[in-house]
Amino acid sequence: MTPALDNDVRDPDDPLTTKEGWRRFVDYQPEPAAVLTAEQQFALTGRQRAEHDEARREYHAELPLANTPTIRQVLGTGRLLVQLNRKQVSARRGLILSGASGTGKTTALTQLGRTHERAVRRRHPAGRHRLPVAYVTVPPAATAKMLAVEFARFYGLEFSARANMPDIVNAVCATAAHTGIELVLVDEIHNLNIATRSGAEVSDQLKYFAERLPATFVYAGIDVEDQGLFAGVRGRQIAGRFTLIASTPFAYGTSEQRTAWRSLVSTLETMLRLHHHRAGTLVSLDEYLYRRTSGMIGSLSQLVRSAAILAIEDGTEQITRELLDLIPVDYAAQRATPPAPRQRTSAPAKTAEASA
Amino acid sequence: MHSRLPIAVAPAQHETAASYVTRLATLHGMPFGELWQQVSRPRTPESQARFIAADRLAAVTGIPEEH
Repeated sequence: MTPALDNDVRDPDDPLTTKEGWRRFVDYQPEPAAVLTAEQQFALTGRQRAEHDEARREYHAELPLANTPTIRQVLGTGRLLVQLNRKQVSARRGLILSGASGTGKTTALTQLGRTHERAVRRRHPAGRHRLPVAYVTVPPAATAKMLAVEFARFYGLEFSARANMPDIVNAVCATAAHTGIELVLVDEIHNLNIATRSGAEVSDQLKYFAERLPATFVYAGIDVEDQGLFAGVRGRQIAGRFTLIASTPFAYGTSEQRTAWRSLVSTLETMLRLHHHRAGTLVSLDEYLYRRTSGMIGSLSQLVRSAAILAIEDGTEQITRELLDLIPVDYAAQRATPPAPRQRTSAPAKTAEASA
Repeated sequence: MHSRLPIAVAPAQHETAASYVTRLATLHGMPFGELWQQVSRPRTPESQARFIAADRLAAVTGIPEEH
C-alpha cells in the first residue's frame, strides 16, 4: 500500500487551530543560526553573505522561547493533571491560565501541549493516527455551534451549513476518541461571557465536551476571573474543578524578582547570533528593559528580536541602548511604563521596593 | 481545498467507493451524507445525482488517486 501523503505537503499557512498546523508546531525544532568568525565572513561571496544574514534574520524573528516561571508552573501542573485524570470517568480536573495580554499565556498553553504531545510520541512511536492534543480558540461572540465547528475544524471534519449540532459534536467526540485525545487546550476563553445566553450555552457545550472526551481541559484567557467566568452556578462548578494559574508580568521589586528578570534577559541574550554583540550588554540594561516592557515577556521578546534584526540590517551586529530606543513597544507596555527608578543610595533594599 | 481526515485508512481490494466512504464516515462519527458531499460532485451542473470524485477523495483521505 502506498503510504498516505505526508502532512508537510499541506498548506504552510495552516493555523495552529488545525491538526496540520499543530503538528508542524510540535515538530518544529529551530536550529541556532551560525555565527561566523571574521575570516569566515570575509570568505563569503555577496550571495552567501546575503543568505547568511537572511537565515539569521529569520532565526531572530522567531527566537526560541525562554523557560519562564509561568511556563514551568503550567507544564508541571498540566502534566500532573493529565496523569491524575487518566483513569477518571467524570469530573476531571482542569487548569485555567489567566492574566493580562502580553504575559505569555498562549505561549505557556501551547508549550504544555507541545511538551505533552512529544512525550506521548516517545511512548507510542508507532501511533500514526494519534492526536493526543487538540488546540482551539473561542471565537468572538461565539455560539455553541461555532465552538463545536472549531473543534471539528481542528480535526479536519468539514460540515455543510445544514449539519446539526449533534452530528458535529458526535463526529468530534468519535474522532477525538479514535485518535487518543488526552489534552484539550482552549484559548481566548475571555470571549466567553456566561452572563449572556449564548455565552452560557458555549460554557455548557465546553462542559459537555469535557464530560464526553477522556481528556484534561486547559483554558487560557485575559483576566478571566474579572470576566465573570466563575460567577453563578456554572461559574461555581468551573471554580470547583479548575486550578487557576495567574500569568503575571515579571516584577522588579525585591532582589529575587530582579534576579529572575535578569535571568530571563540573560537567557534571551545567550540566544542572540550577532557578530559584534558583547555578552552581558543586555543584562546590564535590565532596568532599562524592565521600564520599556513593564516586565511583560511578550513586549521584551518583541523588543529584543526587533533590535537583533535591525542590528543585522544596519551592519552594526550588536544591540545597544541607542538601538533599543529606536524600537517602539506595544501600547500596553508603553502605557504601563513606570517612571525611571531613583538612583540607589545607601539603602538599596528599600529603594528597590519603592520602585516596584 | 478540502480538509484531510485524521484517520487515513486505505480502501480494501475491490471495495466499492460507497462502502469505503461509509467506512470512513463511521470511523469519524460523521453522517454518510456529509462526507459523500465532500468526496463527490454532480454529473452536470444542474444534476442532483452525484458521483465519486477521485481527486476529492484523495484530498480528504490523503491516499493517492490510483488507489
